[in-house]
Amino acid sequence: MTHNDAPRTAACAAFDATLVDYLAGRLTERAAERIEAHAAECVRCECVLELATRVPDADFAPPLPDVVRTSVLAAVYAQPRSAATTAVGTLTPSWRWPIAGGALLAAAATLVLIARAPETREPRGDSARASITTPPEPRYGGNAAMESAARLASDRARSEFESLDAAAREIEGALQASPGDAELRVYLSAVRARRSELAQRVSEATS
Amino acid sequence: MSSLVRPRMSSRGRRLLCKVAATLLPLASQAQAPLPVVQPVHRGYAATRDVTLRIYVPAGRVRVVVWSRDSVDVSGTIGANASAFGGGSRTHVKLGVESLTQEDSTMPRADLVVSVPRAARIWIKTIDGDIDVRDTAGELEAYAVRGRIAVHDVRGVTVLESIDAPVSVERAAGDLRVRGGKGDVSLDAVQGTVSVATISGAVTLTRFNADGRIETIGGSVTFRSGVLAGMQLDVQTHAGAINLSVPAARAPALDLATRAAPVVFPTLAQSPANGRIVARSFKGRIVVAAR
Repeated sequence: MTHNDAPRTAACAAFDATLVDYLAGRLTERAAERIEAHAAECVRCECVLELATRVPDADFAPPLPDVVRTSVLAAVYAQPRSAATTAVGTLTPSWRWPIAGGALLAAAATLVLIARAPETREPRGDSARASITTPPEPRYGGNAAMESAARLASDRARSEFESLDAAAREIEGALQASPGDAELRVYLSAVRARRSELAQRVSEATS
Repeated sequence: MSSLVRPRMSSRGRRLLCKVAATLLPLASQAQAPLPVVQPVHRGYAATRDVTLRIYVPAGRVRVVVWSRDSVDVSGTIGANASAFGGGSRTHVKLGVESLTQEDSTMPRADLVVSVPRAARIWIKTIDGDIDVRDTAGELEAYAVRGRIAVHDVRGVTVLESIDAPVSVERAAGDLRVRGGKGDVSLDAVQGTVSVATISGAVTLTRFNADGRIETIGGSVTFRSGVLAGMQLDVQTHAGAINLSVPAARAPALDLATRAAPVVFPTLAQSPANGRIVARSFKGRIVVAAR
């Protein structure tokens, strides 16, 4: 039997009237529970709800990394019992997985949005998480003149970095021939010091 | 009804059209007017005699001169793409120019003359601009990527850094520190302590009278004249030549060594009483000439 064949009752009419608000999350908790309870009892409305909440295969993102998937599922299952009951507990088994899947998909979409959106907030100390979700922050907040200045500094220093690297290679080659030569190490440390200073000047050129 | 008859505009539509036109027409006339190339600027800030002053001008020129007043005066011109900013307190003043819009990739330009108390502590940064400072006696820090840094008759602590800009110092006393890249460094009549490091920029010392250390990677170092009595000058290069011109009658003690190039020096009556020059190069030649 399809949902078109099932008899439509007054409860079904109420279901139809409030389905849009339910899908939009605009219903109160009690009203949402009534919708879900009716769908759990009515084959027709169960089919309608399933169709309305089904996510096309094409909309699925690539599989999440195990660590993300596990943590999201753990978060879903760790919800307070009352909330879990509201969302899933009163439904028949055939409803639980679509809704849990929807929650999983919503969480994944949120993660994707966070990872792709330009991050403007300061990290809050969780460096490991920040390193995963925070893309490289634009250095100058979109200030084009500062970007030009940074490019100029970098361009003007490029040949100097090349000179420094060439000098370091020469000294390192000499050091391979005579590793115990203290004077060579003095030369090498001088080159490295100049390189470090130049890198700092370039990075601070627009600070 | 003929299709050529134009529909009549409602009174509300007409009012709306009038409002839009009234808004856009002045904008259109402004867009046609040419923007001024430069705008004059003149500002003043009350300041203490040792005010800490920060100047930021990305492109153009900054000239700092001293005057005998407890205030900071800024005059000059700013480019059409720039707006001037400034403020602070009597002890700390910050001024400069910035872009009018975030989207403008042209660096804001200005040509400013800043008059400061002699003992002011000055910090200047440009990206593509010239810096010229005269007669200060406090602390001076100047940074430039490209352009030129020129300092005259300064005392106290002086720090000059550039990537591509040549640096010249005339008549400085105190502690001088120069960090350069490609630009040449010229020091004339410098006293006190000096530390200079460049990468490919040449360093020239004239009328040098300071304890100093000069380092370059590819740039040459030339000591043209100076009195080093009681002082020591350390010179080190990687590939740059070291040229020393010392007085034949009062030659300092010379300690010269290079690993892969000749050391050329005449017979001289050296004496530590005349100072000491230590020169080292990885592969640059060292030439000493008597004068």
